[in-house]
Amino acid sequence: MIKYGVGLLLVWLTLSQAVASEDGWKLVKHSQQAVKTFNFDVSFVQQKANHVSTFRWMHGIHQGSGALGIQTELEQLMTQDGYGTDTFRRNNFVYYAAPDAPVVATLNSSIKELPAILFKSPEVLGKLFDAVPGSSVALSGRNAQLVRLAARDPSRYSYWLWLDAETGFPLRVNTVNEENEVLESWMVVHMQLKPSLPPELVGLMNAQLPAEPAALPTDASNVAAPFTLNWLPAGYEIISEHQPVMTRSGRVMASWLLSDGIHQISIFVQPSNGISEPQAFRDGATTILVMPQQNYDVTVIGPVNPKIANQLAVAVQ
Amino acid sequence: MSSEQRDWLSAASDNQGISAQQLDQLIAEPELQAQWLRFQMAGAAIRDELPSALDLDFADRFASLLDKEDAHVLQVDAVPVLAAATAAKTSGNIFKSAANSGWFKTLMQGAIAAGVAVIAVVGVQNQQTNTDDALTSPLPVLQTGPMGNVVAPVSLSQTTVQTQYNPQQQQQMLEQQRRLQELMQARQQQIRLMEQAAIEREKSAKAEKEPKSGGQ
Repeated sequence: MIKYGVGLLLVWLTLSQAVASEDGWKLVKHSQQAVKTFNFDVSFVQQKANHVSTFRWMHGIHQGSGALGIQTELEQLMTQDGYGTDTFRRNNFVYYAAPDAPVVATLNSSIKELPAILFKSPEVLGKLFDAVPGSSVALSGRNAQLVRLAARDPSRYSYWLWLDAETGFPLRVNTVNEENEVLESWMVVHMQLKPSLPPELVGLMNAQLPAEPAALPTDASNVAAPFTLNWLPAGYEIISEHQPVMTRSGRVMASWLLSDGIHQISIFVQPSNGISEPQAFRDGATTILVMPQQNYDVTVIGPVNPKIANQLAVAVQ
Repeated sequence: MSSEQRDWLSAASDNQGISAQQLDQLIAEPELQAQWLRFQMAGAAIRDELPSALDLDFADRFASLLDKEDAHVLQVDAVPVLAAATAAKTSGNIFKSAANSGWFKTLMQGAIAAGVAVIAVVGVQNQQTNTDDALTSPLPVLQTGPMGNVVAPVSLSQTTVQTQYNPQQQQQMLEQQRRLQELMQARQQQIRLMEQAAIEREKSAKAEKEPKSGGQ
């Protein structure tokens, strides 16, 4: 009798977990649709340990009339602190306009400076995270629903998303480590949903922008470098290696870019700078680790904890 | 006291900074300290900040009061010690007789073994925590600019480098910050271009495949 009771309880627990997870992914999907389909003008701040930056983010759908006869998705991201790069997107082209520099075009389906979890499909996210709905709270005067994207691998950071209960629009994204310590916070401080394309984006529709994407650095994947990378963190794979890296000073002897589909880790090998001890820094959720070796320094930059960064640095041989 | 010393003491009294060497001098020389006090008093008088009743000898008077105070000597109370000793003796007898019996020996051996095991586990855990400390303790924060910038500046100003380092070390640290800044930019560029690179790789793979399948 007791056996049956425990069995039923386990089945009930599994089912309720599955239902909760399904609900969580539904909320995430709803939120992703909101940022892809709404016309909006939003301001957000990005808070790191000792630094807060403010941005304005506009998005709209041009319904295919006038100069641009086809439906076009338009997006713009501007820094509100000082002079920085303005970033525009027209469908799958993202343009970077820095002061005193020509506009650079790249092929991208989203602006990479925005939180990647808002744009990656739930299928990709589901490989790395579980979506768990949480409680509702009032945020910026709106009712917000919490969804926790809990990392399946404890070495990966998790995300806590607060979504507007009415529209599904993301109001806050916290990046947290294993101890639930907030490493980085992305917060909407002003939100205006519009019935049509924001007027500021109308100009972007007709703007003369480069028609061709920027030339990529020459493919160096076949170049034999004297270094190898002997270990990868769970879920990551090498997406490029030994691409020429432009730096004004130090020569880059080898480099790797790893990705798990959502996050990226960069590894660089440079001639020694004379430091004798490993150095670690933090820029929000990004760890920067410099590991001095005999004649070279290995630098690992990515959203991983220092332990993983260290393991990666010593895996370069 | 030299006029130079007088100058910087006077400036310091007006809330201007002094060097580490000057501070050392001030700490070492009572004459400078007395002068410092006089400057402070003069400044306070000019700013009309002096209290109505100025008590300059407070420390001296307090010292003399302490001297006059009776010395207090602790009295040793012998009774509780004796009582405790008697109690220990009695319980000692009980343990003495119990210690010879088999069950007590076994119990004590078990307790000692368990104690050693607990200490070993706690010790190992502590050791593990210590080795991880270097990697898990809070990391210094890299100074970067807003994420949308092409140039996300790491602060290169001298103020970020502590003065305790010698010029060569400072130079090395600045150079290191500059290198990290450049690598952060290189990483940003890599991420911006990675989707495009994947598309182009896919295209070229397709193009390579097509002639082959066409030939078959």
